[in-house]
Amino acid sequence: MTWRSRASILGIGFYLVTGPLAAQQGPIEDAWTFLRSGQRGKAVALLQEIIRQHPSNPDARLLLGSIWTEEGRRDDAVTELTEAVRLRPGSAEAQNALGEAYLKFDEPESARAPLERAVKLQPGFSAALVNLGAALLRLGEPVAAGSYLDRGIAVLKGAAEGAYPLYLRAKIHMDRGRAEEAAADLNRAVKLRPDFPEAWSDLGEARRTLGDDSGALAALQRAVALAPDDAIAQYRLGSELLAQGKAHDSLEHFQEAVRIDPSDQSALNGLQRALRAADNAQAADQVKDKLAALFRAKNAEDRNSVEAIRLNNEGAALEKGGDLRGAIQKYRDALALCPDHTGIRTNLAAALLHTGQWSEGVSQLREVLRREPGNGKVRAALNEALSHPPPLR
Amino acid sequence: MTRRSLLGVAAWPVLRAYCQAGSAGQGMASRGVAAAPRRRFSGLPFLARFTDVAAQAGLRATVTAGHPARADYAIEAMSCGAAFLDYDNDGWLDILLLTGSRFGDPDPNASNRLYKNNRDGTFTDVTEKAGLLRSGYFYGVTVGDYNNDGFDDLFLTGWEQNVLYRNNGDGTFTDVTRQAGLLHPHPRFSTGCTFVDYNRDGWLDLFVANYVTFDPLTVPRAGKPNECSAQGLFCGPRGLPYGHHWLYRNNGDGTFRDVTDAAGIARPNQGYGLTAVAADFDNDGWPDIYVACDSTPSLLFRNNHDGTFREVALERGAALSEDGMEQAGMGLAIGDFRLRGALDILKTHFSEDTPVLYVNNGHGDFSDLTSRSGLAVETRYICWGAGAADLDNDGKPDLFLVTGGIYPELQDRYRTPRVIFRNLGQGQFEELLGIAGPGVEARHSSRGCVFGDFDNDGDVDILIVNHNEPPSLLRNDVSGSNNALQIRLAGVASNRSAIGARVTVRYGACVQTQEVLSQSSYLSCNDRRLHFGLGAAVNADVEIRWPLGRSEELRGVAAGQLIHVTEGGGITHSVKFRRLA
Repeated sequence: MTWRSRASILGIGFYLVTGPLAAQQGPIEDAWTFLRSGQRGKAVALLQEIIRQHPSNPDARLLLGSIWTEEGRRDDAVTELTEAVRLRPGSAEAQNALGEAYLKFDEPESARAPLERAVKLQPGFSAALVNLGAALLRLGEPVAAGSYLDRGIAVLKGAAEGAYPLYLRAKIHMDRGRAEEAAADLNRAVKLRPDFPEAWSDLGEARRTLGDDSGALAALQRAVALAPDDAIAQYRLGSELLAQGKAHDSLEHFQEAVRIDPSDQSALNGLQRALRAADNAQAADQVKDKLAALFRAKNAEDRNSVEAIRLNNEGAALEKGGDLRGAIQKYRDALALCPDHTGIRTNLAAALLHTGQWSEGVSQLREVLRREPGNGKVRAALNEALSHPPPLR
Repeated sequence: MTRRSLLGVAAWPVLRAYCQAGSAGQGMASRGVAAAPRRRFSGLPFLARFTDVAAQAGLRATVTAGHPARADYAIEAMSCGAAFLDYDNDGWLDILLLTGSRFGDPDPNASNRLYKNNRDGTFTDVTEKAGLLRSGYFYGVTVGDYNNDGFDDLFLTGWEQNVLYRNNGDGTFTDVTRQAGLLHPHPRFSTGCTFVDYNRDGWLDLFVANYVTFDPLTVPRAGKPNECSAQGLFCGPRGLPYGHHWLYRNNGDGTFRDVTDAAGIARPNQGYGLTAVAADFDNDGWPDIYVACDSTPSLLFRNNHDGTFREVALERGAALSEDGMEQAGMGLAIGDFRLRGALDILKTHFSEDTPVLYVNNGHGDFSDLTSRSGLAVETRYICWGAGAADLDNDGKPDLFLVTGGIYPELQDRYRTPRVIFRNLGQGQFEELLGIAGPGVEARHSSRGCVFGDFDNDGDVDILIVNHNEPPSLLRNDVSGSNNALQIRLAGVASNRSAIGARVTVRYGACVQTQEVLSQSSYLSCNDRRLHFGLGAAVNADVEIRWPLGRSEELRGVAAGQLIHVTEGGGITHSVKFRRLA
């Protein structure tokens, strides 16, 4: 969530300019000033210059790493923040920033350790508590997640930042079939942050589950007003309207959801149902045809997927028997059927490297990392390969 | 989300690991939904109580279905159904139980079994005498009098071959598959099957659904990591080729003709077909066919009245979940759940998903009212057979579901209890926990179940197929003073079994419609006598629409009895319900 990551950087800025090292942080304060005034490029350049001159300045790395996190530059962010943690292992802020970066890049497993360290270092650190709760939630540990979220909510009391952990805790309630508790948390969340569209959207779902049709409709309308590009909110509002017999009103929301994600089968199905209910059978049939094509494509993908693994396993058997060339061909055939499969691609890369096809092997490993940036083993393999380039001819 | 999520997806091996793990496009579809909150319990008493009397009734033979500790292939995990039928026309329900098998190590005692009702609460195994001793992988059964000779015949689906048994009328059956033109040259994994007089010529035709195209030479065996599963679980259905569905027209001379292409059955997307139901969903007088499909959109073949069908499930709202997702369609219960004279559909699914309730507007357009009806509270179990039966005779059809895991390897999730949803009226259901008797709480890995009054005492009993165990026979003991009426129909111009006849009963302020079906639940066939709980009403008005269209009305029929009605002849005789001690 954008407003959260901004809050996170704001938190770091606050720490830097008021913390014990503030007197030594003049240039960093300047960077922060640039950042606050929207001159991000200048802030980054200044921080990079500080780091060039003082590579062991953890604050500069912390702030720069947080900026990279917000900009989605995963490798740069992790590098700077890991270094910040190494330089100042006792900093809860640095540990939290690293954990938060991993969370943002969908690596909750990697996020867990730094966030646990942050909470241990500073038990009342609300951002770390909430981030750890979020990480554990994504790791499928709702009980532990709930306890950290509760602590975060308690620390934040009535602050606006408390909306996010309430929103997360509501998800735990919903997963356990406790819609009333979820609705209560979400009501508190939208009171704290009336501009929190995801909370409104989930509140609509919770109210729908509780049979509160008018309340659901109001919440979903608010969600869509706040975030018209949120396909989920648009779909939910369309569904609620359709369920309430307002097919014509539902159409625009299903259409928006399909515009945002043309292959969303829930939205396509909702749209064809709504069109039919609105007596537009011809348009409904066109949407139905798209839906049917989607099912055919999924079936083909499923079958390709099984066939690809079969080929991969044949390749693995050939490789075991020493037939690397045969294996590579099998891996290539498998990858052609299932190009998203990073395991097959990794096997191909390894076989290529073993047959001296360094350049393509490295390129395949890079492709795996592009798809799975958190894969440490592949990263290590890439580093290993890069450290042993073929001799120049 | 697939069933693999139940196990935790193994991390993909990297580099030298010779990756051999599961594929994303595998398993059965589950939406991964959480159960909806339970509403406050109504506090109403439930007057039905179920006790498993299978052992004392003599139903002791185990239903073989793969190895008790593992399933090598889907063909072991998906079996099988059962039937309540009256093969000897003595007025007492007999039992047909299908069998599965074990790959490479078949159980020498496994066989389909026919049990004759001794009219005293017990049954005698007459399989051999009846000529039905046969092992193999069997899945579905449909019962109907295809040659209109007055005796119920059997059609069984299986891998590799389906079988048509003609009832000889003397307590024996003859395999007439070849003579009837139903022998197929290549192995098929057939599942759902239903007799249906789709062209209204008075002869029962036959629809057969298929699950996947299965060949043990190409589909990997479970037991070690393979292209389907890193955990070594069996393959399918996703990732395997669809089975294809078939329609056979009865020529009226004991033979059938494949009309699949001509009737438009082969045209649409096929899907992994399981239970098939033939019923007149759009109330136009012509039978349609609905197929519960696993992990693919379910299918509704609408009868065009000219010997052809058009598949309309997506447009009619009966293909997907409320949120537009494919579900693991297994079993079907058809009933007039809202007492509005229309046939609604309940379909059962995988765990972490809800059953789905498609409510019919009376013209064959369906709305998914699962959440609003209170059915979304139960997502814990993999659900199979299901029935819409008025278990407590209060005048409203309830829902009974059987459950069971598909991987014996996962023993903690393999045996699970039965589920009852009580119909509260106004389209609302509530799950009953712990108040319907020990037969409901018992844990088994169940598949098919059938509903019928085996002891002729005026309530609905339930027979359940359990994997690698004897079946359960849940005797229903209803207390209180609710009344019931049962109706058995015999066609004259229409097919003798009256399959496809539609009966609407008015009692008190209620109206309820049922049809004579020849498959529902999970690959099973219920008692063909229609059972109407009447609540406090002591009589009812009955309207019958026979398969060929003729209508018949019976006014003020007294409760507490089974009436036999012959097409054009009214009530030919009646039998009072027995009052058991």
